[in-house]
Amino acid sequence: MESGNSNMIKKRINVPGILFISLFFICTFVFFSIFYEYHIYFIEQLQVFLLTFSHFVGYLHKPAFLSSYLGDFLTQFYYLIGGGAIVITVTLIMLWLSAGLLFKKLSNRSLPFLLPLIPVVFSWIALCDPAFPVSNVIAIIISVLCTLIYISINSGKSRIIFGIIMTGLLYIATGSSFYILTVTAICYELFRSGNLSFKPQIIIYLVIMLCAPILFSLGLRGTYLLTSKQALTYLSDLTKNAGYIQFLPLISLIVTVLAAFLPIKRITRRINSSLLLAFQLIILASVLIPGILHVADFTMEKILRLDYEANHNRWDKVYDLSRKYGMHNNLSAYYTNIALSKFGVMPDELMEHYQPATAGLFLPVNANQNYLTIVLSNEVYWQLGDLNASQHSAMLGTIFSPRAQNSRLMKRLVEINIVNGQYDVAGKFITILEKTMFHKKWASDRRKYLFNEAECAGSKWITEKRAIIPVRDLLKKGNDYLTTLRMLADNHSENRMAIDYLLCYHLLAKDIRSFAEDFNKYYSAGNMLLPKIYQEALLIWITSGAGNYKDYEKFGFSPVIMKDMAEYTKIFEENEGKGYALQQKYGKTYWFYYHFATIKTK
Amino acid sequence: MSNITEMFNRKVRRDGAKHAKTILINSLWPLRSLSSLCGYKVILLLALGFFPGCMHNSKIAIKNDGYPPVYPDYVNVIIPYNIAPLNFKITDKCSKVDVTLSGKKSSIRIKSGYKVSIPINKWKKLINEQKNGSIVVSVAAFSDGKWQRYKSFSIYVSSDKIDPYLSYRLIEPGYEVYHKLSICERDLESFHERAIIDNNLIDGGCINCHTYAQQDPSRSFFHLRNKDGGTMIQIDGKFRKINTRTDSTISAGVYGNWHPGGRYLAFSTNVIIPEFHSINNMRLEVYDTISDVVVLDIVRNEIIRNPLLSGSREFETFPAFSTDGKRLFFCSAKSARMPENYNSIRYSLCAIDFDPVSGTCGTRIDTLVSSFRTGKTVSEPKPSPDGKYILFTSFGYGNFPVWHKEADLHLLRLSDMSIDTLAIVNSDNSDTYHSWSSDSRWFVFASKRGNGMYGKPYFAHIDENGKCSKPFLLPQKNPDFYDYFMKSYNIPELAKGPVPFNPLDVEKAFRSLKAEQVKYVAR
Repeated sequence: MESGNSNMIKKRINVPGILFISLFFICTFVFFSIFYEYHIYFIEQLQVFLLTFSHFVGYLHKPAFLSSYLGDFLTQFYYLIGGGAIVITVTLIMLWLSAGLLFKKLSNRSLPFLLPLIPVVFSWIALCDPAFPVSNVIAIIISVLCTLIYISINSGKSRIIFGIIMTGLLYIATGSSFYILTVTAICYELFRSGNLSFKPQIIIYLVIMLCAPILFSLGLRGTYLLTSKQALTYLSDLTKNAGYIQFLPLISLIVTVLAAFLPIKRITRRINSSLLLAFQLIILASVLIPGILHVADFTMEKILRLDYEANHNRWDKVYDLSRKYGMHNNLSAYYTNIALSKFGVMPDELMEHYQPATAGLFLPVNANQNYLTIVLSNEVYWQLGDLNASQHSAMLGTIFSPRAQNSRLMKRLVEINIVNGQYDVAGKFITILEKTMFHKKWASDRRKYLFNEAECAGSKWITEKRAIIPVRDLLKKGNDYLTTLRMLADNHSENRMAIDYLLCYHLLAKDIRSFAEDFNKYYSAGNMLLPKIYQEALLIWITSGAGNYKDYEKFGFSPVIMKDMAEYTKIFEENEGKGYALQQKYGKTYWFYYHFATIKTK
Repeated sequence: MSNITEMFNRKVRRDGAKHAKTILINSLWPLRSLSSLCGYKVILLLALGFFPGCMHNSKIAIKNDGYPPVYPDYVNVIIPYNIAPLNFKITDKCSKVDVTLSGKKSSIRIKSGYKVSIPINKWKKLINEQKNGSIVVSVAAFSDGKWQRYKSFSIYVSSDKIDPYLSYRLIEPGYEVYHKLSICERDLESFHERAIIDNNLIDGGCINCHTYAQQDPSRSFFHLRNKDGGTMIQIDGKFRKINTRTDSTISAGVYGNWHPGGRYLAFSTNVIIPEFHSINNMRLEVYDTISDVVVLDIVRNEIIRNPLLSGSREFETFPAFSTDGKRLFFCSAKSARMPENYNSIRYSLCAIDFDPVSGTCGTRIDTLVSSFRTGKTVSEPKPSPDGKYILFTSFGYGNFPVWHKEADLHLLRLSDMSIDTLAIVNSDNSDTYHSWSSDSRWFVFASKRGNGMYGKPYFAHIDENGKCSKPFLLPQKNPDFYDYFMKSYNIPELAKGPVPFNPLDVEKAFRSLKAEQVKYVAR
């Protein structure tokens, strides 16, 4: 008897299957908590979720209010270490469970074990795109649950009434995920219900169910202020104009629903169960791995890590990571250069790192840029002390964030307005942040500075910034970096970071004349040894005959650098200006950059 | 009622005392009822001494001689009798409030948290009863375990009706760029707001300058600034799309105004440059490097140029027709090299005759407000519908007052050309973008008072003698609304009714209409 029972248990529990599913979701957690951690933190910054009733009411102005609200509520937890990974993993488990239940109910027999994982896999892939919020997965789960209720209704008439009403409600609650109910209802009535066959009323019902999504979505577009295309394909506010990646989870679920109506059992019965499992695993892996590699941006993950450390004012980590990653892109160069200047080694180490001409010093702020660039662009102005430009960038970063909200930039606006003494503005943003779950404490801690000059005077970060903000007014265009830097240097000659940025800007633009002019005007190192790149550039200026060595003698040139220049010139001439002979020894000198770096312009 | 404001002030003092007494008597009614049964003093003693659990009652409160700290500031304001409830909140920390709004015949009592939401039906009844009278607002607030009763304040209800609809553009104060834009219409008699134009439906393009013809919602225009855009002219819900740019004009039409006859629109044509200030209390400067004023004839589709309004020696902008349609007001400054002279350029308020038959302007320009005399610049002149006044913005220099903290509204009385600087109306932040109600008794304007960043619509009453009252903020259902709202109210315009179109109509017109090209003629 005992042996018989244990056999039955063994038969019921699919141990390899459970192990595989457990492993799958552990991998999901590990992926989002370790390999995609900084995307998760960044996604959280793209919203300001208020725990107020009016904030909830705001969601009613667009379709998918319920899934969007729940999704955004959960997105708050991305702020916590591991929070995002837990939210995503649990959501995907919920999707797997609900999809599995739906397929089971639809097929009335056991289906391939991994079939419900198909929409989960596509959701995982889509979630690697920051433009795909977790609310889109929640929308699918809600729609699947409603579809389960639909097929559990025995009465044909009740089911029809429920189907029509629920189509409209689901659109309001979950957006385009209502297609799951539409497709399932039509297939269910055609292939499963049995008792309805093709009576005229069923044909009318099927026509209604076919038209209902179009009628509901187009009928409500005036209320929701959406174009016809947006209305028919609305997933969430973040994916209002969704690409195909964003639709993969929904489409894959609908396709698997259709598959549930196929006579799969007859096919699978003939295949060995181990072979079938292996086959399914291969299929899943061949979708998941290329899918992740296609959608996930691991270079951006590194950039976002730099950004994360910068946001937490850990410039030593930014510095170390820049060296470790050695990336070749504008965004990483941007953070690297800020870190170099924070430690006062920008002119010494500039050439040690990748420099995309001047594009690694500032990120352009205009409507043609990717919102990510605009969001990150305020940092350099904040560090340099041009708080008006920083505020402008932060405002634009907020405006161009996908939903015109950004908690991290709102914090920056609080800081800027406290330093500027614009306490009413800072107070407004603090009031908003105080209604959030995770930024509340930060905001409340800043409230003490409002209209309290004594408190501000005792705060190092405020006094340091106030010491370098401009005091003389000047009009300048946006993205006019040279005017910005000269203005900062004119206002505060001790603003070493601004002066280094100005001089390095000229050097990276290969404008030695402007470098020499601004060097003469702003640089005063006394008898200290000049930074390496300045020595190298001045030697170009002097040897070209435009500058006089005596004018710069006081700075004390390094004999090593002077010797190197002589040798560099010799090799350069011997090799008729070809760079390969110089690269190994002089690849990290300004002379090499000056001669061989190519500035690409669009 | 020769001076409604003075009368109001007298009334406030008188009614305040009278109503305070009424409130006290009314508030003691449970005790009075019981005292008739078993003796007043005994009951009072019981209530005060033996039932401390009832001590939260707001009648037993510490007296505060100041007005309650309410937001929005509705203390002693004049309101039209058709405005939505003036919901407000107490800004001091308190857990409960007990508010009574008392009129002659009825009163409303509200017990709530720090936010006071007035039931709309009771409010309508109360303000209709109190036309030309005042509502006395008595506030007690509970904090730190005790009640505090503030000095009562009054809200005077004018019998002058305000035009019941307000349109405005909602835009993030990102200075010079936009992303999500909509022009909305608010029913001032309730809290209902609807979008009338939304840029999501027109490929994300810029929409601006929605302007009615003399507060008439059946005639208005606005600009769609994207590739397939143009100036959209709406008459009785039907649209025309007009390309007002010609080879001979500086740009397409920018700041515009309808002629009362309906056939002409005056526009400025400008090259507008935004630049940024570097010091902390200033943000954006927007200036013209060149500008003219032209007249558009929508019957003949002609842009009519007058050399006096299109000279290179002057910058002309902000045209506005007089109420009788026989004059054209505009702002003019001696042209200068920009941006070098950005902070020395000052515009004067000028006028030129206009012939509505031919659409041509006169041959002489009159200066009504001289910048040389005032030392300030003028922008956005708006003649009142009764023809008595011009309301304009006055500020330090330039022609873009939105980011000028010193920008104030001034009222030019055309009968004697005197200027009222409207001290009671203005604030220490930008006050501009004004528009009249059709009866000339109210005007609305966008003010950045408070935080200096976000513009909000304020309404002010002007009596028959031209005396203005303290402005009040557009009421919202949720008194916290403005704390969490992240957009500016831009170009608020009053209208006599709702516009006869919706965002889908605009979308359809945008996609289906081909822009009519205007001809350029010099007359």
